[in-house]
Amino acid sequence: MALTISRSTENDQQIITLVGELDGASAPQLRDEVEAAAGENPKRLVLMVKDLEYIASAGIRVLVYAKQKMGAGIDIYVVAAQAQIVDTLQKTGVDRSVYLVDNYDSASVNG
Amino acid sequence: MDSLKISGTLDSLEAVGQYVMAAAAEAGLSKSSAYKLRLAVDEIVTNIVIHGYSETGTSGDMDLHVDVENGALVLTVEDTAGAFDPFSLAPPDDLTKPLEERAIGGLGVFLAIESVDEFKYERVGDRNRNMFVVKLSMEPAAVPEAKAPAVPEVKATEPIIPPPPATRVIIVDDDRLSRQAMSKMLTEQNYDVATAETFDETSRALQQKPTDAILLNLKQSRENPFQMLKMLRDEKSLVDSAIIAVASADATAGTARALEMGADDFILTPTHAALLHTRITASVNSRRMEQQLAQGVLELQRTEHERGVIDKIERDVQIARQIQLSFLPSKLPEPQGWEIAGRFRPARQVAGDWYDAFYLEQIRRVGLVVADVCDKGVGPAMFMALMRSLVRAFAQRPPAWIPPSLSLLDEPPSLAVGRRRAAPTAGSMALKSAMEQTNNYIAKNHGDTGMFATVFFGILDPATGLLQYINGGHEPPMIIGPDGIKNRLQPTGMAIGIMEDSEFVIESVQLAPGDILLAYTDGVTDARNPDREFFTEANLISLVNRPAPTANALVDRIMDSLQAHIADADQFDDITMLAVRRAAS
Repeated sequence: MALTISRSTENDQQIITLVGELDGASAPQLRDEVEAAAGENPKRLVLMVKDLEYIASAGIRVLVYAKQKMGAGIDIYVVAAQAQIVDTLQKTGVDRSVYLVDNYDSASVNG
Repeated sequence: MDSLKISGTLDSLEAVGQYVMAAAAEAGLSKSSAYKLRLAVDEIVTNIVIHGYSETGTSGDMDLHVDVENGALVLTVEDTAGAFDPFSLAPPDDLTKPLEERAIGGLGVFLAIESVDEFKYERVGDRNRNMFVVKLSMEPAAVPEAKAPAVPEVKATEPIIPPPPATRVIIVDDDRLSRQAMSKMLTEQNYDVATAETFDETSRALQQKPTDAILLNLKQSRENPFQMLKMLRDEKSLVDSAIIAVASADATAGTARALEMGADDFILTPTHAALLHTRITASVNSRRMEQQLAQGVLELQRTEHERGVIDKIERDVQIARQIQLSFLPSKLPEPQGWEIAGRFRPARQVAGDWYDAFYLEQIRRVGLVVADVCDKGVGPAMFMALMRSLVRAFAQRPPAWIPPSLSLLDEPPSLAVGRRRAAPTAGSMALKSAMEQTNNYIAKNHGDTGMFATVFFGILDPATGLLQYINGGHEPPMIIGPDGIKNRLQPTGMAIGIMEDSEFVIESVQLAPGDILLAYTDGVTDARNPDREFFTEANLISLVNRPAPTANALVDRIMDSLQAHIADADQFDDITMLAVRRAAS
């Protein structure tokens, strides 16, 4: 299963939804999307990953890249990650630089 | 399960993933184990595609196959790229690239190693072989039977071993009649016979195939047989071949000279078949034995030489071991009301593990470290020495940007009970600075070696029992109370040396009177017995859940149990433990 990415802007937040598998072959796609999102100067970057089935180290690197690209002031949310993906994020320590949440309401953020 | 042959491109990752998941399902792996196996294989396969093929401008296939043996699933990936050890994978120019373009490098290898029970690399001929081992939890009897290796069927009528090739003989004789007579006699006895009339023809016949014996007639009318003999004997490639002079029974004068010049034997004609056969066989055998003996002497000399070299290496390793041991604390701090115990047992003479305990801020704080450099042996041992010293030095000498007026540990930490996320206080500066600077130093200066270390670093306030810590991808230490394990100190950041500027979060935990902090390396849980079974974390947990009167008693209990488990098996990984106990009030 390849990776499907969609991106939207809501209330000054960049929302990227990932469906499928994020591996060495598909990670560059996400990196392009992250760059585009950073270009919008959002207040937050939100990754909706409920249907993301797999993440490899290449995907982890894009998350770290996103953190660096966005700058320290922009929080990154990872929403509804599956257990295995949370496990990998924890093992690599990335869970400490992003917010792992079960639910996310983009409307609740004060623009 | 069938093997999979697939081209070494990123497009193959998906099919590789499906193959691994199918293999995992067939072997009955849990969902979680299957996912981790897939992750490990995916990381290594990605490395093969990018670093093995793509970056070197080559292409080729990858072969995957699965075996289930000894209660474990073994998945093997082979490729034909240049020698490529994942433990040392990043090409040197990699470090000049921006972070996001850099090789997956250490992070991928880290995940691969962490995700399976055992990961091995070896170079076999012109192929790289990566092996992933996942232990199956079910009983061996329930494990699907591994396919028997394909042994070619042997039919009873076919000989299994081909018959030895016939003895090859060249008859050098320019007299047609005597040549034909000799040739006929030998051919009838199943010799492989060639004939030659001149030295040139002899040379050509020799080049066709290896020759066991040359029958040189001493009566030649066209060329001087003794000159031929000299040239043949001087020929180095003929050192294994017997040369037998052939002379007429009524003209034996030349035979003595021929023997002097290096002929192995002589035959007088006319002769008969049995005698001819006996003389040829004797000459051929004696020549072969001589050569084997010479070979044996050479090998013996070489072995002697190698033994000398090995002795020297062993002496050097012993010296390295002595130096390495000096990097472990010779005397552990003894803050009042606390007991600190450390144990270290390297798998080889030198190890990649270390533990450390040292005073900070005069004696108001104690730094506690347990760490594990990936892999084992001399390379990791050098990293151990470097990293241990960096962590210590950076912790004891904070960076210049902290205002000198602000003592590192002046700010009293709030006494929250249990675990909490600590605000970055001045008190945690030493911790954060040591981890960040060590990480950046290693990633920046040694990133091309692919080495990394999981590091647990805590700073203890003996007065209050508060432990502030950073866990860089290390096996979660345990806090053990009177009723067993109270909690585990999960990673708060990535292993050290993988990526520059990676973030380390400080957490803190309160040690109550009677509590023991136990930090260890995975050499404990991964220790194998002679049947290659792991010691397991469950076993460790059951050991620590029994109350221990002292920190030393606890680590000794674990060491004894490990010793009994390992018995006479090869120790697989370095074993290191650090236990810190707060006296019961």
